[in-house]
Amino acid sequence: MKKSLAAVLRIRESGVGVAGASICLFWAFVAVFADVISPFDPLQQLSPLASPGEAVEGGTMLLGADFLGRDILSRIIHGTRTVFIWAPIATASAYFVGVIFGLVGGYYGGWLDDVISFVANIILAFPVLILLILIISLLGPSGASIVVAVTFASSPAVYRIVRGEVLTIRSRDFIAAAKTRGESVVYILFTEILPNAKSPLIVDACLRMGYTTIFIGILGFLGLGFPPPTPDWGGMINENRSMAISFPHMTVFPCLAISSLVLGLNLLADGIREVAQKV
Amino acid sequence: MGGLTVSPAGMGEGDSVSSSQAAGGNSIGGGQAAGPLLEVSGVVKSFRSGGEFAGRGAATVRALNGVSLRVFAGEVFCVVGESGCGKSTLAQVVAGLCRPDAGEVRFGGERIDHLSEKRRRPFRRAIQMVFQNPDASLNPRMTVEQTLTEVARFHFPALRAGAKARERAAEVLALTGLSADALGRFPHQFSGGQRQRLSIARALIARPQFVIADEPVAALDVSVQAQILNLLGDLRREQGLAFLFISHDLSVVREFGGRVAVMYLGRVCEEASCAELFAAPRHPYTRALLAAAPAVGKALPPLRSPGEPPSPTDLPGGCYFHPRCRYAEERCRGVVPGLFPPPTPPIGDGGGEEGSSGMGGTISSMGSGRTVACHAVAEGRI
Repeated sequence: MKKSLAAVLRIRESGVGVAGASICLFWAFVAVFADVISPFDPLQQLSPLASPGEAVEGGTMLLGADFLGRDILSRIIHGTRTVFIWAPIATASAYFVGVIFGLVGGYYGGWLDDVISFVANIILAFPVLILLILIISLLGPSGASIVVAVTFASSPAVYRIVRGEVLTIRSRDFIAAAKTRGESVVYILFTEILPNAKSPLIVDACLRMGYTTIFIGILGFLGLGFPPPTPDWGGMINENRSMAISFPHMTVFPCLAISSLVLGLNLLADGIREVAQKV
Repeated sequence: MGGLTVSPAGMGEGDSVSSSQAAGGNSIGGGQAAGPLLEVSGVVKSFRSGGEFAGRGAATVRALNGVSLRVFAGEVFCVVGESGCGKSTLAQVVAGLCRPDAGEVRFGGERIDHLSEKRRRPFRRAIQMVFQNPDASLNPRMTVEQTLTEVARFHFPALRAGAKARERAAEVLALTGLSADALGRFPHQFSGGQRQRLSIARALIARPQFVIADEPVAALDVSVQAQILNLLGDLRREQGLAFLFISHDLSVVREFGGRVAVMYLGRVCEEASCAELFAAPRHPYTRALLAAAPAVGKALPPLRSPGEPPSPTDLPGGCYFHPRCRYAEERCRGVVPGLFPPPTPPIGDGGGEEGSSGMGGTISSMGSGRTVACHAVAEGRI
């Protein structure tokens, strides 16, 4: 425990990493304390089309209101929860599938690897957006469908990374040592191989969390995300897009929220990579 | 077996191996006094290499083409040959990393090459391997303690509880000349020689009878090679271990001693005691190999065997060495020579005829006798 905490704290050695971690921690804090810090109820209709800084009964709308009069800041704050719940679940699910197939395909090689790689390539060759729309239209908009869609779209990329790592690790002699001992394949895959593929995977997981945030935003924007009136960043951009020219604050602030979180995750990934290379 | 008497916990009780064992606790085949500990007979192994989607266009590499050898308990058996001669494949077959296509591997009299994983496990404990490059043979993510105790716990259920495995790990570290401080460290915190000691410790913790050392010093600095060779030699004497010592380096083999088999393209072409082989090599390939070994103060002689070895995907008929051999005749091109004791030079009428149809499998002499697979030697031409 102490060791893993020390490993996490090593991110302090990288300036970029500290910046990324700070942004991510900020949003995590917002997500956890959403109820406490949000000035208004995100669903309450107060003053339609209010501009940023307008005072209403009970406080000031710092970022203004949307076309229904709901406070943008409160909706962004509550929207953080949507992202912080579903982006990790969807990414973890994509990782679960990608890692299992990657371990098996990379370790066994041969026709099994050929078949899995072929399927992965087909999915990767398919336009992501059409794929996502197709899956969500089939399953209906909900958190679970987003998880399925993201898993489908992202796991082939994870598979490729894991497979590549396994291919180099499996030929090393400590794997041969485990085989001469008579260890089971499951033990070799999860105890001998996977820990050695860890660092590139952690970096990628961080980046992929950013992609997933964007995916969720895109789905929300297309009206395929969470059903209204759930506060959701992508959904907010969609709801207010027709008024983007006259009332830019309605769309700009949710866009900034998405961008800053993705930026934070990308910087964090860079920081982790930097620290991992130092050793 | 000296300090190597082991709690029988390591052997799956009631399993066929323990019942066939003599009273010696867990030393496999300990009761069968005269028989060899390891007997490899007529082993053939090919690999498919290259090839594209779904294996089209793959070539077959014939790594082992009928190799036979015997190693007795406590004996050192060296295998030499240039790279690609199949010595590492031989190690893999004996260690159970791959199954031979044909032929048998026996350990303590029992055939082991076709056993199921469960029944092979006691043999996997008794036969341990030390790999060439300790950078690659130790898991970089595991501490020394994890690396050693995972082996101990795997083979000895009695060591799974509490700190027993750790104590045992400290014991084997001491045997290899490392202190118990090493337990908490990772492989990259050690020097190359120390890492090879760790690799040897990992082999010892299983309480083996037989150790396969595949080029154990080839990746080390020359200054450290002697230390590791001395350590292996000490272990052989003190623990009564038998060794299959694989090397391309003639000086290392000469140092390590014992019996030597020279391999060329997946066949044994000569087998003799170390002293005999270096004093009077008989097979033309052995002669070329010894002549090519560099030595201080010796000008390199002209190359005795021109050309490159043929590709193991496309082997010539007859004796594999004939395209490069200056003694080659018609018979060498068509008939595979068997391994026979050479007639005492210069004259002699070797019994090459009856063995000529075989795949070079028969070893007609045991113990100290040397054998050569060459028509020219058998016919007394050289």
